[in-house]
Order: sequence, then C-alpha cells, then structure tokens
Amino acid sequence: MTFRSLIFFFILILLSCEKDDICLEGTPGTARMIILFKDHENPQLKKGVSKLLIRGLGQLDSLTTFTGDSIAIPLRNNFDFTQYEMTLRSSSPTLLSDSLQINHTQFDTYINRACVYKSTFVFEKPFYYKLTQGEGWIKNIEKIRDTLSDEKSSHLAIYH
Amino acid sequence: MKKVHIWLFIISLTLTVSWVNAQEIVADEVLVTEEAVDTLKKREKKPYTIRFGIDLSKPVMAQMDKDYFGLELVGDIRLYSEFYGAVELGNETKTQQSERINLTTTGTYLKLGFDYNMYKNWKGMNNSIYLGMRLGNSFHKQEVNEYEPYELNHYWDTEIIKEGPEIREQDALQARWIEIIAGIRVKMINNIYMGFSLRLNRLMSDTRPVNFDNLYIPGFNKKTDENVWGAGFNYTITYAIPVKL
Repeated sequence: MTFRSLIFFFILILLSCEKDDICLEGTPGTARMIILFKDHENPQLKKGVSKLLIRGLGQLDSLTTFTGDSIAIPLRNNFDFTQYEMTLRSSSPTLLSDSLQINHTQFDTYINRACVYKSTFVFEKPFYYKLTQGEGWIKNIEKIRDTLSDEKSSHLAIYH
Repeated sequence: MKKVHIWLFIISLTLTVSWVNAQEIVADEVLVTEEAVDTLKKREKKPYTIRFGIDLSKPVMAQMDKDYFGLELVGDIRLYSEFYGAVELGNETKTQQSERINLTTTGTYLKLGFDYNMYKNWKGMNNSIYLGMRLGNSFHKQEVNEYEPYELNHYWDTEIIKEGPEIREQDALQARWIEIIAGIRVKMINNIYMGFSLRLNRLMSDTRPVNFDNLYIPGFNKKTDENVWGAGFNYTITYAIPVKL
C-alpha cells in the first residue's frame, strides 16, 4: 500500500466517524403519570370520565379534554410538585372542579450520548394534596405504584 | 629468427592480456571489500537520535476555542535499524455543549509505542514515512455542568437542571486504547523536524462514571455509543539530539 492511499484511507475514516448526535425517536423518555379512573361505590370496577378538562395550574392552555378510564399526564421536571385542575365538563349545570397537587421527587438516569438523561418520578409522602375545598367530583385517591419508571401500568387511581 | 620473434610476440600478448585480466579480478575483489568496510563504517557512524518536542495543533486549537486547552509532549528514540520507540504525554481540558448536556473533561494521558520507518533515505537525509502503534492510557475526570432531561411531552417547560445529584464531578476515570498510526516526519533545518500523523484508535476498556459515560477521553477523543473506534491526529515540531552510543 502506498503512502498516498494510506492517507486517503485515514481521511475517509476521520470523515465517516462523525456521527450526528440526535436522540432517536422511540427512545423511552421521562415517563408520565398514568391515572386510572374507578368507581368509588364499587372499587373493583373501572369507571370512565367524560369531558374531563385537565389544565396545569399556571398554564394558559389545557392539557386535554378527556373521555375514557385511563390517562397519562406529564409531571413537572425539576419541581417538587405538579398541580392540575380537573373539571368535569359533563356535570352540568354546575361544573364540578377539583385541583390536585402531586408531590414527587425525581432521579435521573443516563440513557445514551444523544438523549443523555431521563427522569424518573417517585411519589413523596403524602403523595397528594387536594387544593380545593368542599365537595368535588373526586371521592378518593389511591396510589398503585410508587415509582414512575414506565408507562406500562397505572400509578394512581382516582375514585369518583 | 623470424619464428622466435613471432612466438615472443604471441606469448607477450597473451601474458599481458591475462595479467590485465588478473589485475581486474584483483581490483574487483578490492572494491568489494572496500564497499563492505564502507557500509560497516556508515552503520557505526549513524547516531542514535533522541527527539523531543510538542504537538502544535493543540495550542492552536486552544487559541481558537476558549472551551479547550491541550498540550502534548512528544518524544522518540531510534532503537535499531528503522525502529523508533515513541512516547506522547498530554493534558487536555475540554468543555463541550451538545443539545442536551454541557460537560467538562479534564485529564492526562500517556501513549507508548513504536514507529517503523518505510522511507529509504539518501545519505545525509533523515526523513521518514512511518507506520506505528501506541498503547494509550488516560487518567481523567468528568464534570456535568448542566443538562436537560429527555422529555417526550412538552406541556410543562422542560427545565435545564443546574443542580442536583447528577451535577457533579466524577474522578479516577481511566481509559485504555490502541492506536494505529501513519505519519511523515521531515527534517527542516539542522536538528529541527516537523511531522504529521493520523491515528486510528480502538478503545479497549474504560472505567465509566456512575450513571454516566465517558463522552470524551483525553488523548483518545470523542467516544461514541455505536462503536469502539476513534480518530486523531497531531502536528509536531521536534528537536533532535544526536547521541553516539
């Protein structure tokens, strides 16, 4: 092999080694909190909500208006708590609204070079405060899993 | 009488021819021995040079990039024939900002190995085109300055984390690798040489920081997730001290 072809070979390697540092789609990121809605009269049964408006306190836009029995909501990174207002739009004529504060801590784990870290939330004690007084639509809240490491099953159950 | 003269002529002619031939053979033998002696003398005269100097590319890069500091001392010694023992000792500090993280790597590295010169020099020249190998070892530390956790949902603003358990410096990190080198070295004036080399690095092992990775290894360069290969180069200026052994 001549010297010239060797140099060429090395420059080729130098160029081809340059990989872009883009976090690939599909990499599991920070897990959201999965809430399961259940019937307070019959705690074994799921009971869906309809037209539930979910809005983070301090946010102008609502997260979603939701109908169903299980939803994933994001928690606030680098904060000790996340506050949500949940309004049941179907409960006319008077709108029933409850505000919740979820208390959490977090630890961050390294994924890879491009994505770097993801956060895992852990419920604190007590894991929630009800911010609104009086009668709302939420009767009871129970935690199912302490560590929000994935979104495979629910972390929290809301009885209504 | 005539016959005698003719015989004398013939004999003297053949004798001269044969004598000249004989002389030529002798001369050839002398030449051969002289050459042999000459090469021996030449080999004995060739000094064992020790060269040392610095990598010029690192101070230049440090001037251009305020987040980088680098210094590399290089040295080599001719061991025998075209084999040179070689060493590189360096120190680097590099702060890098990527999309999600800002970190600083500081460390020292040592590379030991040899070069083999493939260039046939004329008498008095001492240039080289060489192939070489090194074993590299770094001793470094890595500090995470800030990062942004990977979030799929952006309902809440993703906060950049500037303090917390992962914002820390982890030291006593090491890495070991092998380098394959191709380079040239040219004599400029007197005992000053300039050289350029390209390096292909293969990571053998590294001690990783807890809950993190060596994103940059001093001497090795950028470490990728996909493979164990890396690349580097240096641009050296060296001074040779002739040593007669």
